[in-house]
Amino acid sequence: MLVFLGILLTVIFGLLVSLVISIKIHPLERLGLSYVLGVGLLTFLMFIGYLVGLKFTLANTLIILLVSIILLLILTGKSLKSYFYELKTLRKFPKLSPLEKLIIFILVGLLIYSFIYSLYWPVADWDALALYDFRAKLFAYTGGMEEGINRGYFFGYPLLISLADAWIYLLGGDNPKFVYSLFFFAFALMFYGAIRRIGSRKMALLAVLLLVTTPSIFAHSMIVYTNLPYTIYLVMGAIYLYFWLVRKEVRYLALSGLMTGLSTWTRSTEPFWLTNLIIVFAFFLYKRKPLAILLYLLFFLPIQQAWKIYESQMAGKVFSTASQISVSLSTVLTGIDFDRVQQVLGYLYQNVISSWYLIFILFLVIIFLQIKNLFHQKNFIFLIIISLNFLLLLVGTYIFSFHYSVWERIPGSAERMSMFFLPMFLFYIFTSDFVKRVFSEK
Amino acid sequence: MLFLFFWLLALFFSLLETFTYSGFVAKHLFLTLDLFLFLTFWLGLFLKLTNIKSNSLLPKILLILRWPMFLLLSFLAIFFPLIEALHFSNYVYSNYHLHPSGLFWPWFLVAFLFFINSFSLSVFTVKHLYLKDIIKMSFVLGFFIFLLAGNLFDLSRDKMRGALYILRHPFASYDDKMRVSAGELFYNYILFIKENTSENSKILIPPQGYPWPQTGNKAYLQYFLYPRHLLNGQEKEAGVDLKKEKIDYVLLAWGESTQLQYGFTNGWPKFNLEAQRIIYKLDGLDKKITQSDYRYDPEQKNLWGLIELDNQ
Repeated sequence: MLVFLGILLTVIFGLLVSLVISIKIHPLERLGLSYVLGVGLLTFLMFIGYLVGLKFTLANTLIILLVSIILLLILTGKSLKSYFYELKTLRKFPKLSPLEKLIIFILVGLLIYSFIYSLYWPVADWDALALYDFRAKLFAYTGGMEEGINRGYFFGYPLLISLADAWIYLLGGDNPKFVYSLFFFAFALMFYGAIRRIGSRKMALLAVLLLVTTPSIFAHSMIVYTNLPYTIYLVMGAIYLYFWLVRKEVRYLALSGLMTGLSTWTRSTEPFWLTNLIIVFAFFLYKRKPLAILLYLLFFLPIQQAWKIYESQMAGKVFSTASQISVSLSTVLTGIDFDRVQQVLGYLYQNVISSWYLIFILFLVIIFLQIKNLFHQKNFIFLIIISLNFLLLLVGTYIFSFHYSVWERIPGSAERMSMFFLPMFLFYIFTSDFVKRVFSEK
Repeated sequence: MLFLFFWLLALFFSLLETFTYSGFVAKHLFLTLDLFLFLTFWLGLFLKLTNIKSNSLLPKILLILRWPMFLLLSFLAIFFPLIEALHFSNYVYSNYHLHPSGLFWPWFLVAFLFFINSFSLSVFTVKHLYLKDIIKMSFVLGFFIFLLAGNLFDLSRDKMRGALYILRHPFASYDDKMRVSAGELFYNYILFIKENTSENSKILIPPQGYPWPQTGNKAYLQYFLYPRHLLNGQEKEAGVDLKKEKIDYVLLAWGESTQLQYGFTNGWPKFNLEAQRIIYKLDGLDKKITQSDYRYDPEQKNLWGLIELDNQ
């Protein structure tokens, strides 16, 4: 019961944050967003609270949550009412075609399966036992981080996952796996809302069905790994950035900064957060509007830097963003080793690209089908985002290969790290004019 | 007729792979089953989008037979995985010579007949389209169906295994579930260590690498043994000053894997130790205690237990 109340408060907290940003989105998307923002920002506040002396206890976390909720309520009294009114309107269930009913039936079945599976099986996944969930147990057990730091293998990954698990343990739960099923559920809702904004209900339902049945995404809804939450934050950060560029609503940019920031609060070693920053910076150079980049940084930077600064202070400068950028640049600038580039390309093809298989082929087919007016498509900017991410994957692996001698021996890790490309491909496919035309309701 | 030809070909090949192995068609025909499946979906949707009447798409005999085929394949697709779960892995293949997961594609092909025959595709914008647009459109829609079916196939084959265990053991204990997830040998050994060591003890564990992927991985092992302190030893020597580090126990670990790494071989520790007693792990949680020093004997296989040191 306490666990349920804790999750409910977390969702309410996330809901209020989304209402403060005051973006106009589908009520179901907002529900998903509320959970994702709630978990991300609550864990971040737990960490900040810890830095100023608040231990990880149930009472302290509840105080953080309730104070935040009260403050946000003052800011959003009216819009909260209007959200519940929006939710009420959903009770009038639309008339669905048999195809839509079938899709919803499969979707609900998969979501229920993921939830039951997570509630039944205890945490037993390798990295979760070795790091994420172990840290969580220590946080809940000792109220602090010292014990975990003293025992070694603590840094390298930020705390979102560990603190989310710790929150469940503090609430009296003994198995936090369902948190990831809820992430999965929230992602489905957010993706639906994002596609629905530009296309028909059938198209959005099919997009979500393809998303949730993607084997790696579905599998990660039932394990305590960072990859699914990371994928959600990064992909939704990119999608909101896209909507900002297409719709010129600055609130999308704020949300993008927040989501991309939270992606670095989940996994901090990968450089993919740079893509969104590069796009915003390029916009600034092109349009000469500094406010956009300032707003983005206002939401992104505190989250990204807080952990980085703490990590570099506790574990050495090698973890700081500046140090990582300088090491990367020095590797690239000392000259390009073309043999290594070839090795890296082969490695990525075998272990990453081949795992994308059909979605990647479809992505290429869609590009080919609209090649004549590719640059005039609205979603061309999303193609740039995907391409930049791929370039970072290539360059990042190249640099990594010089600093980690057994880089070729962890193909599973590379595949998991690149999991976020799959929803990005799907989003690109479903925002293409060709597919929109196939599903248009005219 | 062309659709029917491809549909029958895909059905035949998918059944063939169910009774042989995945990749059989590609090996002998140099064309993958995937290609036939995709062409079937593409062609079916193309004919549907060109508004050919349903009845002319499928011959009467197939319209009559699709229900019994669908019901039979649905039954088999549930029945075989169930009896496999009730027996052992590969039970169905060794007794019936078929791969249960392979039944998915024949089942899906029959389900596809219902899809193109029953569902209205009027949702798609097909009016005022040229033939080349319909070809492109059906190609993309066919790809969606193929992608979706491929995803569902993967899920039914790999990700649903845990479901059968849940059905068979809805009230399994935490220990039972961990035996399944972490491995019976390893998890029983964990219970044995926990029972025979105090929580404040210091334990020397094997070096990290195969054949000790779990017992030699300090970060992984401490999840189970916390708050005990763990230290990695070396293969042929302790690698630490046992007295100075106040080591209470040394694991006696044969190795939970047959794979090897870094030149390690099964059996640890491969060095002698002055011990207070040795607690050998027998079947289950049974044990045998001897009051003697530990002498490494390469002839002794499959030893598991704990060596208790006198660190006073």
